[in-house]
Amino acid sequence: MGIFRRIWALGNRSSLSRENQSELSEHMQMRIDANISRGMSQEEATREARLRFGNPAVFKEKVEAEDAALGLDSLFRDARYAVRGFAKSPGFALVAILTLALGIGANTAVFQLLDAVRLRSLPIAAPSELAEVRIAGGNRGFGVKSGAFAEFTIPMWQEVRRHHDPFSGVFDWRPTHMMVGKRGDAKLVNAIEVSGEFFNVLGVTPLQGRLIEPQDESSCEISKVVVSYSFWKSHLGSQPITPNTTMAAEDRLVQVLGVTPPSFFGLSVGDRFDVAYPTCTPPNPRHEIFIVNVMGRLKPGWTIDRASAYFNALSGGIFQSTAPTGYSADYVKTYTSFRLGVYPAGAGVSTLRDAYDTSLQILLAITGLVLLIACANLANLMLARATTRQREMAIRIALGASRGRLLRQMLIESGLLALTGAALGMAIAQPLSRLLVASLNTSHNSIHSPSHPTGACCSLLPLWPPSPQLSSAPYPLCAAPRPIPSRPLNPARAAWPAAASTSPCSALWWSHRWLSQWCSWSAHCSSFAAIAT
Amino acid sequence: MAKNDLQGALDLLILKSLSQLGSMHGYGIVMHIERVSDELLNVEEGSLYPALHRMDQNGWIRAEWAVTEAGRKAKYYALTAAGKKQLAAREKNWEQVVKGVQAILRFA
Repeated sequence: MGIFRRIWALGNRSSLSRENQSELSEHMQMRIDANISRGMSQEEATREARLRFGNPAVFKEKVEAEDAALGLDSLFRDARYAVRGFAKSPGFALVAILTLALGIGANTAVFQLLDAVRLRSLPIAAPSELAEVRIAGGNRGFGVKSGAFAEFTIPMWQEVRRHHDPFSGVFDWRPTHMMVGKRGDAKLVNAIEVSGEFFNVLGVTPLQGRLIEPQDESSCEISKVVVSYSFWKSHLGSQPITPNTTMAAEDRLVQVLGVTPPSFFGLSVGDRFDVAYPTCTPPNPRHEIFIVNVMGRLKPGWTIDRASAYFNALSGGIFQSTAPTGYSADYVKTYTSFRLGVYPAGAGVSTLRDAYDTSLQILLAITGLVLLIACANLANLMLARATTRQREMAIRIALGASRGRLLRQMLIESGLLALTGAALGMAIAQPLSRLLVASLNTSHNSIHSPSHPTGACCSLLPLWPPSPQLSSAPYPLCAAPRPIPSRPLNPARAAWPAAASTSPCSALWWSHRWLSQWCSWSAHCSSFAAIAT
Repeated sequence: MAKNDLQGALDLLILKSLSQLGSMHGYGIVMHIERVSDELLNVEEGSLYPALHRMDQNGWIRAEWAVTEAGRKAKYYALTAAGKKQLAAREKNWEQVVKGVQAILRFA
């Protein structure tokens, strides 16, 4: 309850102040009267009374602080004072804020992209268990590779489907296209051809209807499809899915089995599938066309390494039995020497990642460096400003301001700059990120980059860079003219100003360097945050 | 028990003085403590008033403006029920502290 009364007391501070003032002056008068009656002169009596009360400004604040929540009040005052200070030197404020905003904005933009392309896991159940099987080192140009993620021929896939001890389930899939709509009005959309276990293994649950199941894998004529959420909304008008729901595709009517949840975009990061249809096993699969991608969910207790070893051991048999015929012995020998390996696929597959991963990382490193330089610049700027404000600090100390109070003032100033810079940085991060995506030039872009983890982290980040001011608080203390104490100082205290005048100044350098370190770490903090989420 | 001995002692002195005097202004409290302790204890105004106002906020004492015998206006402080309870607790605590310190001093 007390705290509310004290906050409320802030409202009528002036009357509170007047009351305290009259209480104290009456008291002082009583003391003076008593002193005079004891035989002191008027002057002596007044001086003695004043000495008992000490510094009047400090005294007044100390008493008032008991009556009202002054901490809150002065916080607001400090903030207002800081804003006034910035308004007086708009050049400084503008440069500081813009430097921060650009540094943070660029970092956030690049990081968002890197996060979406590389770090984020697929929106499926337990993505860390998902693993991809492919030929270790690639197929070295053997046969025909059809499509972006084509790592397996159909016969190879059939072998793996029969022997998949490390996996609780395996599936194959490939990205493809489909003509949707009536003849003459058809439109090409992104499709995926999947085996019956695809959705079961991924753990994707239907939003409407049901998804593709093993029994759907029968005819090679497309008769059943599952549509994505966005396709369902845009092309099917969000109509409820019933067993009679059909749509026109590939010149006929196909049954729409169900709809996937909105978060599921397929397995290829950077693309978005519209329609999924069940695969079929052609009667005479080609042995030299690499066409599908094979993934599975690891059984509990199996690691990537163990699964790799398992498939490595199996490889000899698999490649012997699936070797294409009608080729030279050398050529077939290359084929039979292939070995399968298992690789983590929790983050999906991506042509974007393959093409831009390194460049994005380099870009992030460069923007991190730019932020670091911006921080160092800002620190210097702050130092310069602190130097010109020594006089102000000295006056405030002489008036009785405590060190903590000065420090708080500095921190509030830095905090204001940092928050403004961060807010602006986050604002420009979105357009910057879009610009980057545009320059990546993919036809069906679906790099979805909600920025909360990065954003949250980046708003914390700049709280640190401008805090070399922290060290500037003791600085004016040593440079300020100190009032000569009337009492004899003990030697240790007398030596303090001299020591202080050198040590904080060197401490300043160290803290400067330390902070530069901090900047770089905090730039990486965003990536940790994303990994954590 | 004694968290902040010095402050505890000052609060105790003020509360006890007020219970003895009934109702008194700041200057009166200072003079009372000085006189009764034979000028052994000297409470400075610099610490008296923050303490008084803090106790007022805590609800241990309440303040009222009145006119002194000499015809001056002054703020008179008096104990509340909560203040009396606080005083009893502080007195008991102080006795413990004194006992403890004595025991240490007498230990041979």
